[in-house]
Amino acid sequence: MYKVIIKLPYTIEKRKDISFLLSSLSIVVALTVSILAAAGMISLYGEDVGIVLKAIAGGSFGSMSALIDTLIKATPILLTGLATVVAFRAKVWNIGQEGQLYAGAMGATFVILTFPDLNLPPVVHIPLLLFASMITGAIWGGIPGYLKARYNVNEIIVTVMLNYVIQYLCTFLLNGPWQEPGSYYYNTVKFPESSFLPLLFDTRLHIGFLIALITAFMVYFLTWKMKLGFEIRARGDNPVAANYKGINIQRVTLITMLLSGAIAGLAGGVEILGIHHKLIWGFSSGFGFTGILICLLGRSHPLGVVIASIFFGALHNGSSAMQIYSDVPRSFVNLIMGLIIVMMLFWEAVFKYRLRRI
Amino acid sequence: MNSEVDKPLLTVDNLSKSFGQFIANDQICFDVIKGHIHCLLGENGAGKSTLANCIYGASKPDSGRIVFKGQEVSFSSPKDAIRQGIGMVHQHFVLSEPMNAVENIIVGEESTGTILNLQNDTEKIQNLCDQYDLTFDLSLPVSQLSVGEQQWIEILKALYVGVDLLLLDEPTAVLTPQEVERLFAVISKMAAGGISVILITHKLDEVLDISNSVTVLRKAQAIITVDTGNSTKASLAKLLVGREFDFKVNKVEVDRGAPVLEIKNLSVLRDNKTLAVNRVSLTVHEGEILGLAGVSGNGQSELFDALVGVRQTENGSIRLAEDEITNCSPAEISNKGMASVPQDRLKQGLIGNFSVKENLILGAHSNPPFCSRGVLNWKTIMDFSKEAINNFDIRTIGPEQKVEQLSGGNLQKVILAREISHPIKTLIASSPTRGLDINASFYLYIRFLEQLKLKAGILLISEDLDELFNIADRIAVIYNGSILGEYCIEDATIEKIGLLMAGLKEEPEPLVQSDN
Repeated sequence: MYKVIIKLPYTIEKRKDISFLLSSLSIVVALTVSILAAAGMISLYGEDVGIVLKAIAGGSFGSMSALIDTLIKATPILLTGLATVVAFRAKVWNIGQEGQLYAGAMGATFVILTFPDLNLPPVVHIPLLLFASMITGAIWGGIPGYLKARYNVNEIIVTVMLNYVIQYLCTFLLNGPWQEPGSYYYNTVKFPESSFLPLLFDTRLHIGFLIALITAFMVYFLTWKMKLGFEIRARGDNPVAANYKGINIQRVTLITMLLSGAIAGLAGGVEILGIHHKLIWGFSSGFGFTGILICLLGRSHPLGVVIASIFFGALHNGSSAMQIYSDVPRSFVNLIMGLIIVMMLFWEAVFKYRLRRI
Repeated sequence: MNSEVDKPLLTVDNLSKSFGQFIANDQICFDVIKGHIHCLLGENGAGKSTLANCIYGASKPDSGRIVFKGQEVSFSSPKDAIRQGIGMVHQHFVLSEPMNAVENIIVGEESTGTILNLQNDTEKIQNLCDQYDLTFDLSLPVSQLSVGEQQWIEILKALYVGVDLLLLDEPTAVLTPQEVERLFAVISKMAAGGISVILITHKLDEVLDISNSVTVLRKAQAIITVDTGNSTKASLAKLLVGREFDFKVNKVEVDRGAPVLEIKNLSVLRDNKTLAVNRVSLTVHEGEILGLAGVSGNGQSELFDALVGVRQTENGSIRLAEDEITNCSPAEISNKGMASVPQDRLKQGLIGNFSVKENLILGAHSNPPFCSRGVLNWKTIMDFSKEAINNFDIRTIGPEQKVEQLSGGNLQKVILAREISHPIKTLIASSPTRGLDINASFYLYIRFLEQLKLKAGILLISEDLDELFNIADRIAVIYNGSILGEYCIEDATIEKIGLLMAGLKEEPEPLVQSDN
C-alpha cells in the first residue's frame, strides 16, 4: 500500500473574530474576481472587454441622467432589501418579499380605483396610498408570520406559496375587474395626477428614492437603538435564551413579519406611483427576490444594503448601454450578478480561515 | 534495559498543541505503564481533553512524539488508534438509542463482515460481561438502560475490539456514587488483566481511590507525575491550583426567615407529554440554600423551566414571597424578584453573538432606566455595564466584546451580574459551577452567600454533591420527578443522598445490585 503524504509548512485554522477591514477586503476580492471572470467571458464571446466595461460604467454612472436612472432602478430593491434585513435579523426566513411587494402595489391601486373621485391634494393623497401599500404588504407578510408564531408553520414554504397566490390574483384582476376598459394589455387606467410621486431636481428621480433612504435610516435605528430591534436580534441569535429572559418570541415573530411585509409593500407602492402611474402586469422584474440578494450582499446591514442596491441598479442600468455598444445580450448582467453573489459567499467563507506557519 | 514489567506501554514526549494563540498543551511528558491506572488530573481548561484527543488520534499534536508499544505512532484519525489498540470513552456517549447493547457494540466493527452473526457476537459479549461482573440485559434498547449501564456499553465496545489502552474522559460526571463504585471495580479488573487505563478527572478523591500514578496538568503544562501512593488530598490540591487551598467555604450563619419560594404539589410535563415533575413540594426560606440533588434527567430541568416560567405547569402552585407566580410569564416572574442561573450558559443564559453590555441588560432591556418609550438608552446601559464588569470582576476587553469569546467562568459572571445586580427574593441556579475551575466556583459561592445576607433564598440544583455539602443548608433529592427525601445538612451523608439519587428509599444492607 502506498500512501503519499505531502507535508506543507502551513496549517489552516479558523479565525476567532473577523475584523471589519478583513470583511471589507473579502468584498473587494470577490468583486475583483467576478469582474475578471466576467471580462474573460466577454472576450470568449468575441467582444472587446474594454468597450463593454466602459459601456456598463458609462451607462450606469457616466452622466447625470445615467446616475439618476441608476438610483431609480435601485429604489425598489433597496426597499425589498431592507424588508429582508428586518426579517433575517430575526432569522425569520421571509422569502415572500415579491408577494408582499405585489400586495403593496395592489393596495394602493385598490384605494385609487375604489375612490376615484377623492380629489385630494398630493400631500394627503400620496401618504394615504403609501400607507395603504404598507398595510396590504403587512397583511401579506402577517399571514405567514401569524402561522409561524401560533402554529410554528414553516415560514419559507408559506411565503413562497403566497407569492404565487398574490401574483395570480393580480393577473386575474388585471385581466378582469381592474383592466382598463378597451385595453388589450393587462393594466389599469392611468392613475390621477395627485397620486404621482413628486420628482426631485427637475429630473426623472422621484421621491421614492428619498423615502427608501429614510426607511434605511429607520431600519438602522430600529435594529440598534430600539427595544424592538434588540428583541428582533435576540430572537435571531438565540431564541431559547431570549425566551428565558422574558422576550415573547411569538410576538416578535409576528411583528417582524408585519414590518418586513410593510416595507416590501411600500416598495410596490413606490414603484407604481413613481414610475408606471398605473398597475401594470409584470411591473416587478423580481424586485422581491433581488432584495434577498441585496440583503446578503449588504451583510444584513442597512448601509450595506444601500450600497448594494445602488450597485445592482447600476449594473441593470449599464446593461442597456452594453447592449447598444456591443453584441453582448442584456441578460449577461444577470450572470455577472450571480457570479458576484457566489464569489461573495465563497470569499466570505475563505476569509474565515487563515494560514499559519507550523 | 528496563524489565518487561516496567516498560512503558505509552510514552508521551514533549507533546504540544495549540489552537491559534491559545496553547492547550505545552511540552507534555509522561509514561503509562502496562496494567497501570494513570490519572490526568487538572482543572477545567488545563488541557486534559486536548491531550487525550491527541493520544486517541482525534486531533493532531503540533509537535512532540507519542510512543505506543515501543513504536512511534502518528494517528490521522481515531480509527488508526483503535486499530493499534487505543480506545476511548467520551464524556458524552455515542450510542444509538433504539438499538440494544450488542448492536451498539458491533456497529462499525471491522471484523463483523457483511452478514451479521448476532448470536455469535452476543455470546462473545456475554463472556466479556461475565469476566467483568457486568450484569445487565444485552437485548434491551439503550434508551431503557441507566446512564451507568450505557457507559458499560462504551467500555465493552473497547474491550470487544481488544484495546491495550483505554482513555476515560471524566467518566464519573454523570454517575451516582454507587455507580462510580461499580465503574471503579470494572476499571481495576481491567488493569489487573493487563490493560492500561488513562482516567481524566478533576476530582481528587477519584485519583486517590483508584490510580497508580497521576500526572497533574495546570495551565497546559504537565506540572509533575507522581505515584498516587505517596500523595494526599492536600498535596494534590496544592499541585492542582498552585497554592494552598481551603476546602471549606466560610459560611456565616444567617437566620432562616420567612418562606420566599413555596412549591406545592407541582407537576410538570416533558415535551412528549409524559410526567417529568411529579407532585413536588419544596420550600426555600430567606437566608438559606436548599440544595436539590439528583442525577441529571430526573426532572430538574423541567422543574427549573416551570419555576422561571418558560414551561406550563400541569397542576400545583408556585409562590414567590407574597406573589402567586404559577404559569406567569418569564418577564413577570423575573420582575417579581426571581433570579435564575440556567444550566446551559450559552444556550439558555446568554446570547453568544451579543456583546457583554447587551447580555447584561437582557430581560431588563424593556424596563427603565435602560429603555424609555421603546428606545434604548445606551449611555445608561454603558455606565451600568462598566460598573457590573468592575463589581463582578468580569475579564473582558470591554462592554462591546461578544460574550461567545469569554471563558466559562466569565460567562457565568455575566449571568450573575445580570441576575443579582438588583434586589431579588429568590435565586434558582442549575449546576452553576459545571465546567468551572475551583477559583471561579468559589467566586460564585461567595456571591451566593452574599445574597443570603441580603435576605434572598437560593434553590441550588446540582449533581455535584461536594458542592451541595459545601454550601447548602438542606438537601432534597429528586428521583424520577419526585422528591424522595430531604435532609438537614447536619443529618445528611454522601451515602444517604447517593442511595436516594439511585432511587432507593430504604437503606439496603449491603448494597443490592439493581438486577439481582
